[in-house]
Amino acid sequence: MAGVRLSGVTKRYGAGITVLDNIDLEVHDREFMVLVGPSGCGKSTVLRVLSGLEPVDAGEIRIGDRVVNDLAPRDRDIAMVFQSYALYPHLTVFENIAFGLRVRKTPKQELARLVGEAAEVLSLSDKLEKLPRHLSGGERQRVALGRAIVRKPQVFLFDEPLSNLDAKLRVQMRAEISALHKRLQITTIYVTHDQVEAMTMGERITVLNGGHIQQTDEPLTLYNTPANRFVAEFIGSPPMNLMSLTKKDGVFQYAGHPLPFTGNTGAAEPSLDTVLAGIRPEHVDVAEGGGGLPAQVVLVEPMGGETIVYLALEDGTRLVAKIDGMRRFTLGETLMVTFDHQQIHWFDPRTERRISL
Amino acid sequence: MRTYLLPLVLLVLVASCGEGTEKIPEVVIWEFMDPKERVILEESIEAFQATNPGFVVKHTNYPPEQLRTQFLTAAMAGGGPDLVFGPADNAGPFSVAGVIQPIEKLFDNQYLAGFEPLAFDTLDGHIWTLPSQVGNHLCLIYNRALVDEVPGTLREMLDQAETLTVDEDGDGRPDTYGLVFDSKEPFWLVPFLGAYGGRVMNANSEPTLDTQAMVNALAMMKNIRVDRGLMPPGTDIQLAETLFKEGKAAYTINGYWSWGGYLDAGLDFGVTSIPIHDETGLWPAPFVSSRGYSVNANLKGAKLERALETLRYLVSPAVQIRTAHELYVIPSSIEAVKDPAIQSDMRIKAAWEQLRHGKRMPVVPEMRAIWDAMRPAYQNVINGEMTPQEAAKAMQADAIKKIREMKG
Amino acid sequence: MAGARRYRTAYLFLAPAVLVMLAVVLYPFIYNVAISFSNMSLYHLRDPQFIGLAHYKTIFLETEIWGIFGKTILWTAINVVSHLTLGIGLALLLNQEVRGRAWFRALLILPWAMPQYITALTWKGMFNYEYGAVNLLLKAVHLPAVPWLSNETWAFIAPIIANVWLGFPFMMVVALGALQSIPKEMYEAAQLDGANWWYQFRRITLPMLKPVLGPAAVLGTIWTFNNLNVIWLVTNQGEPADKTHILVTYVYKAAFHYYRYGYAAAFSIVIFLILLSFVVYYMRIQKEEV
Repeated sequence: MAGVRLSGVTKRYGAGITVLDNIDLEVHDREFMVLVGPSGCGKSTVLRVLSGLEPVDAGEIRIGDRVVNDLAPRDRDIAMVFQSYALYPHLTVFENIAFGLRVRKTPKQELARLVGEAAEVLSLSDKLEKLPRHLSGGERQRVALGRAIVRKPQVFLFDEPLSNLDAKLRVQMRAEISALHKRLQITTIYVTHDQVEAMTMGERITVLNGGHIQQTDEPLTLYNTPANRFVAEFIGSPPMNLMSLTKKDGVFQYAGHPLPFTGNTGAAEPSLDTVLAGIRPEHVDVAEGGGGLPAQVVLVEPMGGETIVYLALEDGTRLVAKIDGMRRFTLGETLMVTFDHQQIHWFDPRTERRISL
Repeated sequence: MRTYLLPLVLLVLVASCGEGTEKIPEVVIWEFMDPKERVILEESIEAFQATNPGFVVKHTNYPPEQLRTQFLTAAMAGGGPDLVFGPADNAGPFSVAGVIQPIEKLFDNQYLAGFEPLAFDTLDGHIWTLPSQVGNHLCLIYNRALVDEVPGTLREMLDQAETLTVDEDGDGRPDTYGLVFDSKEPFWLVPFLGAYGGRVMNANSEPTLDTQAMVNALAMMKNIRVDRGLMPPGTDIQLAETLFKEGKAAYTINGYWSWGGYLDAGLDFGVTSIPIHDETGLWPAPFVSSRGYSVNANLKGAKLERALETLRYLVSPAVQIRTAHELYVIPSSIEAVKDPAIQSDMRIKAAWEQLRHGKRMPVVPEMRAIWDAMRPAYQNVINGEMTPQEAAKAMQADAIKKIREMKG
Repeated sequence: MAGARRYRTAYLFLAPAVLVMLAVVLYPFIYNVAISFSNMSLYHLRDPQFIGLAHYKTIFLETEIWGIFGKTILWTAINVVSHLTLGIGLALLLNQEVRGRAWFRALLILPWAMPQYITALTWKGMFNYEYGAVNLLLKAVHLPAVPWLSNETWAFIAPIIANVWLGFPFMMVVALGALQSIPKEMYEAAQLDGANWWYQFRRITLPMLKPVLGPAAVLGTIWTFNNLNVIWLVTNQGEPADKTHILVTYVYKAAFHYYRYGYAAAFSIVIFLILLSFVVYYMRIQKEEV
């Protein structure tokens, strides 16, 4: 088993485009690390340079204690599951899983045993003679997994493996992959653009944007203390509300209103005139009267257990609130909005970094 | 939808009315002519149409094989063109299949008497083609820069050709050859067969290939190509023409169709008869055949009259003289031959002389089997894979087999 | 019955096509079968008589024809195998990221774009013993000239060369299309599994090309088996000495040189049956695989 370490890794395409800019990333041995970010952020490229499918322009890649920069993919002892599964349509499930073993000239009995084991783990034992086109989406996904686990590699790489499945299967496979990792204890790097997948599966999560690492942390840490505005907005659904506050009379105010915080208003950062205040929807409270900012209901999405309410402040700024599902709202009604001060995230509007007030 | 329909229906009606009333019957000709000859045909047709309003003459060019099969198929089905132009041997299959009509029943004797008798081929006692030219035969052609005087006998001529075969740069391959001709096609063997008194078939169209004359002719060809080495191995028509055009050959044996190319190449050449054989005292006898028009058997009445009127113009002395003058073919019309323009052309005159020594090429379909039987055995002699005796025997056997198969 | 009513419009639309097919395919075919039992030839054009299986008997008893049949198989096999090998090879090269790829592709498709007739005659000229380009090239590298068109063996190799030249672009285009539809992840997955180029070619590329190249090869086999033009034109109608015939040129000669219509009709039925059994055999294999 082995950890993975990227130090100062840079990857460029052509002359102008830098996809990975001086990336430092450490994945511990046996860890399940999720790379998440919007499309084009460079997360898949991390997998491609790690696997050796593409060379890096600068930096060092280590797997275990070996520097693998100059090793061919086959010598890096890693397995990858592709978004498209990359199953061979002309080979049976058995042969698809056995492909890597055959390349390595594994003895026949050994090969049958290993494929059998992998199939057992993935509940594919009765599908071994079928061709991929006769399988369901979930089964194909499992064959792709089988092909990766059968070789017992040092590192697993997953490149958006669930994005071709429907929502229900996705939830199921999420759990299966997590369970598989617990059982096999193989270092895993999992790329996704879906922050729900990231939150539910990752032991740690790395958020990437524009070829830079934004933050690497455990899921709840990431949620509770986003390092910057990008992470704050990217993680969480619906996304965090951001409001620009201006200092007046020594306190930050919103559009001339002193903010209707419940609890302590806190002391202001002395050097800043404006700040960004981030409030997650579940920390927005609404009441039919009393103090607070007046806001009009523009859209209501009842989800059952909770209701998402979209509000418009007087100057048109939108706010999203996640409210207990038992309450009812009518479009156009005016509500008074209040926030819990303890739950506000503060960001410097220029650097967009997290600050504390 | 409906608004578009009515004009469409009207259009169709108007179009079909026009079709019915105004149609001028066309005279259709299918021909196998080379491009220069076709230009003359086109201009002749224009001239004819100009002086004969109401006549529309159309022509379509076909390669020889297609001309034959297409015409056979079309005429068998009751259609086809009115006139078909090609070599006289087309008359063989056409007349056997009954798709053309005898010429002597279409024109009176007085008109036909205006043609050179040698130009008529008969089959089953009928004339099937009205010739527009005669000859199509091989002559001896020499490069005046290399040959001062053509010797009087065949042996002397071959000896002279041997001295003219020279390897100047000493690479083991001659740079100038004495005598080049197509050594693959038995058409070039025929004159030498005649020099020994042989014929390819008898009057009953039965092959007569296994004869001493054939053995001697084959031996002579081998002597020319191999023993004397007067031409390079594998010389075919293209190679022979190229060598002669480039001035790399003293003599060639070829037909009138090659003269234009030699003139274009700026060659000063003479034409004469292949010299008489020293021992047999016989003239080499190239096959002589004519080219001309045959009349579709399906034609009758007014349509036939129109076709014959067109035909009379196309074989008229005026057209023949022009063709002869530009393409060096020998006219079939006696009046045209007597024309001073023709009489003053030394080459055409020489070809006319050679014609006198020639033998008429049979037009029967069996000729095809004879050619195909002669070709491989002849080539085998040249390649040294058969003796002349073996080859003569093989030709005869093969020809008999092929003719039997044809007759089914 | 319900189906017939439901699809009536569809049948109506199909009817003209079906009628034309009947007229131009089925009718001549039946006519061909009919005259194959007759002695129809130039001499019996208007009065053919029924002679039963006589032509078929001749065909199977003629020893010469078995030699031609063998040559046809050889001709077809060498051509199709060469077309496939060259086509796949060049497609693999063109599938790489090379500079000027579009240009190369256009250049390589050119032999296919030329009319077969012209290409064949050009090759015939290039095989000329003394002045042909091929022998001039051989001479330039101090190799002996080859009697391309006069020696029985060489005269068979010459049209094969010409036809390989004519045929590979089709397979190349088909293979290139198929190659481009193979997702590159399959190769990447194989690379990670440790497969080298050759292993990837054998276990991924070839099997993935098969569904497309299989039918193309069958089509190519039929075309080549029945390729009249190239042999006919390059060897000048089967020269030397009718030793370079394949079945279809032999039939063509019988029909249009010797006007042996009944015999040629019977012979084409035999060729048809040979090709039919080949296609049926192929389709059976195909079905077993699925």
